[in-house]
Amino acid sequence: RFATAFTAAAATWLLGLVGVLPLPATVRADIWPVLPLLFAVSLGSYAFVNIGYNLLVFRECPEAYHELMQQIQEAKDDLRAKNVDIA
Amino acid sequence: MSRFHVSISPEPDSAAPSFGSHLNMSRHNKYSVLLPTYNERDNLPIITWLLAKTFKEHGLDYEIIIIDDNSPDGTLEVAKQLQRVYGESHVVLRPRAGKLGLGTAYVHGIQNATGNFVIIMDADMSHHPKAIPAFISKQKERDYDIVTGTRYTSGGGVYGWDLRRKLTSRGANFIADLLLNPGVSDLTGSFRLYKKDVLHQIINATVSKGYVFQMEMMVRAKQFGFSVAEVPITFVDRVYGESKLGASEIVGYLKGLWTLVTSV
Repeated sequence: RFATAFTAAAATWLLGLVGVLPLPATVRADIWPVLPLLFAVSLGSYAFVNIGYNLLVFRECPEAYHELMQQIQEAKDDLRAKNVDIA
Repeated sequence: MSRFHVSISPEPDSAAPSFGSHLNMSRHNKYSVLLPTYNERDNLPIITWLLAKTFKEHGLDYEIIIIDDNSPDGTLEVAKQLQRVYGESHVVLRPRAGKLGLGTAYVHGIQNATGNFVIIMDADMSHHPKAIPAFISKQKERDYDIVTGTRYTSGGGVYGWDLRRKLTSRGANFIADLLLNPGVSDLTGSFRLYKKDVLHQIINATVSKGYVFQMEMMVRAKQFGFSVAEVPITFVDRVYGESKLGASEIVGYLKGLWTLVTSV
């Protein structure tokens, strides 16, 4: 599905480039050839902002860690008492 | 569009009667936890203790199916001791002759599961059983086929990741989101509750390995039109042992992702 969309877009762009599509002269000469670059840069910026934002709001859970450490101790003591080999 | 439906937070639905939940309560539910293990001698007792504690506290019928791939460190021996403590109906041992991979471990586990729900999770304590009751009540809300844990929404979180690791994770998520549009916020997560038949169907359709395996399961689920809900979970990374996320893992991930994108 992604492949078909990509191929369709690439084909359209190439057609526009070689003159098959009816494009106004200024568009074809100046704008059309740089469309892929524009697309790549836009995608890159979007990626940067998206990933950057998600890194900033990345949730950490130190309480979960401490709770787990405590429970590990509890579990070990309990199981040792029940004759399970705990290091 | 498929009937794919995602719900992230509990929303009391005042319009719908609780007919569904009445049905669930009258039917007896049993939860099978699949634990594929390889060299988990230290972690297995603890995770079993936590699971048993959670299930008992909530009055849930359960079984823990331990699928050990002939671990050289004595995991199976410890498993037998746990069986003695918790009973053979609760700790089920289904070992295998060698290291045969996660997908086949799940298949093996499902074949031996007597519950109507299956829970998959990591045995290294990065996933905490305390989230399981939340999975169960979420599932009952609208009889979801799958409930998956997410580390990235409010209520969830990660402990023990440095910036580089976080970056890799967010980057991977971004790419996967862009290419696959999966509808879940944590695609590589592997803490999930499935209806047993649903899991069976999905695994039969899944071909990848490693990280991508879990992702492919979600993508297939969407393809089949199964209903999926999310529940926030906390993920405490690497209590014992070191994390292994090198360049080869990243390449493997990208390759797998590409295969997935082109196959759907």
